[in-house]
Amino acid sequence: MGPTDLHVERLRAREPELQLRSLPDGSQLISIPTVALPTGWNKPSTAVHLITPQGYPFAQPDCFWADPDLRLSSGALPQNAALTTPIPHLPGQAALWFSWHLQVWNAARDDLLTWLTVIRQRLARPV
Amino acid sequence: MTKIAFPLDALARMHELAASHADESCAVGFVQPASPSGLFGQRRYVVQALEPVPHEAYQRRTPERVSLTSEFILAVSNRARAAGAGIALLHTHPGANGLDGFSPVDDAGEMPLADYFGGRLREQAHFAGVVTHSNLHLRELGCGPSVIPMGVGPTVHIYGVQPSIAHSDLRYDRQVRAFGQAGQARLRDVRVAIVGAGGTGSFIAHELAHLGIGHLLLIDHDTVDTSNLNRLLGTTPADVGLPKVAVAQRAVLAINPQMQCEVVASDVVDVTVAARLLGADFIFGCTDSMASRAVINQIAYQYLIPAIDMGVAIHVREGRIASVTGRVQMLSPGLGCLVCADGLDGQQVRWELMSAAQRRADPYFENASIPQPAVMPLNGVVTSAAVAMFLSALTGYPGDARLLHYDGVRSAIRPQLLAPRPGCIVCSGEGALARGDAWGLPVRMGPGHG
Ligand SMILES: [Zn+2]
Ligand SMILES: [Zn+2]
Repeated sequence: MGPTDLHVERLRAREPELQLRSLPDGSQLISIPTVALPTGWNKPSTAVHLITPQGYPFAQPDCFWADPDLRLSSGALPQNAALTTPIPHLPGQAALWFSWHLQVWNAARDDLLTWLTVIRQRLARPV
Repeated sequence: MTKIAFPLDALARMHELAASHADESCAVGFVQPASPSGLFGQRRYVVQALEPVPHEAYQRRTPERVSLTSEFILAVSNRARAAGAGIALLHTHPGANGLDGFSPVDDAGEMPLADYFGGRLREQAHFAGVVTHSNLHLRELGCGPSVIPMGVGPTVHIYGVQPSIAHSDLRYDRQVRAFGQAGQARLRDVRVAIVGAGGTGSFIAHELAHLGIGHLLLIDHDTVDTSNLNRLLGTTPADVGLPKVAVAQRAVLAINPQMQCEVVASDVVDVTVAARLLGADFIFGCTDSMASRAVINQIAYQYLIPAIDMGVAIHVREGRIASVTGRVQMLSPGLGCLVCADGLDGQQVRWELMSAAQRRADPYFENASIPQPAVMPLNGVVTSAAVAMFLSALTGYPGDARLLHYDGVRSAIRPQLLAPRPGCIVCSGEGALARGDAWGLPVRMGPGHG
């Protein structure tokens, strides 16, 4: 047990479908199977994968992953996204990497809901 | 001997009840083991959520005896099981002349409870205590062996320690005149860890050796560099290339050959190294690493091992010194933690906890190894303030402030108050406070870092 577990349970209360995987370095991979997308994408929803790093929440989360076939409706790759950076420790699992960062993070105030909100805000803009 | 640490404010409430309430009062807390490896041959436990028993849970309550309803006992047992915790059951002996110790009534009443909790919570350790207006006696539940209780907060109270300093020892005469035989004995008995043996850590080590600290653990993964010689107290040019902890150990043993000094030339954010800290009674955080600070911060509250964290900085802008600042902050239950102080940089902690391979793979990693200005007197001011704070917490030496800011431009040291944030993930009861081994630490798990 620890802060990560508390925050994961808080997120699970909002996202009951979430799946959790412990990675070898002690970080946790959280996958939310269905996140709805607005028009402007090539599909109505995607999975989202995010990581609580070692030392979370004092260490802040960074970057996230989505379905490997997620594209803009034009067929183009979204900005700041690439297929070249796999989910850590899972090189075989294809996923679309979003280079996306938190502007502010404070372990006293922020949790995985904060991070998911930032991710949703990115996905709300199909660019 | 087994030590058991309580948040000081919870014990203060019980002393107050013993002083003010004519009938006996009870309190129940949850016990977690707090030293996985039994370092120094000590066993340690921490007590979480120690609360006076609510009025309706008393079956009988008189000045001489007290009993609790079976419903309440069952509820406590269920809560303990859910938390994987043992039980600490305290009761007061009221008044100024209350019996200072366990009574035959206590012995008789305790055995059925020991059977009950021992049967239902077989894996856990349970304790019974008697609280007077000023004292606390604790033993394993079922009239078992005594254990040493400690109250940990802005000050550290160790109950029942007998001062035993040889009167012929003139070495500490001037200190004994300041904080008494008991204070000096405490310094001899306390096990202190210093994380970081650099500019501030070397000062702290020297001062502690002169003060007569009996047990010291030094942790630092670094070696002495030529550019360190201006501020590592006790170094000579011949020390370049040696581990910083080895140089500091040589210095403290020269000052005080009686001292037991262990060194670990490794990084405290590694899981096995962090575990070494759990055998300490007090920690000095003398590191400029954010990840080390996160580890020390959490240990202070999770394991009730108080720490003093310090930081120094000289900012130079356009060739001129713009600021000279120092910070000394005690981390202990009842005091706001580094998270409450907004003192941890989340991006920096993340980078520092990565392995070398992970850093190479991170396209945004910024190598923050540009040397910062550093001069010895700033370290001296800040570390002496830190050691004085330590003496205040442990011996009754004056100085109430637990957070100090030094402004070298204005030549001023100012105390500051920092209230703990309610619900803080580290320093509150909803967070890491007194979780002991039941929670993990924010450490690097695997080997192979760089
Ligand atoms: Zn009694
Ligand atoms: Zn806090």
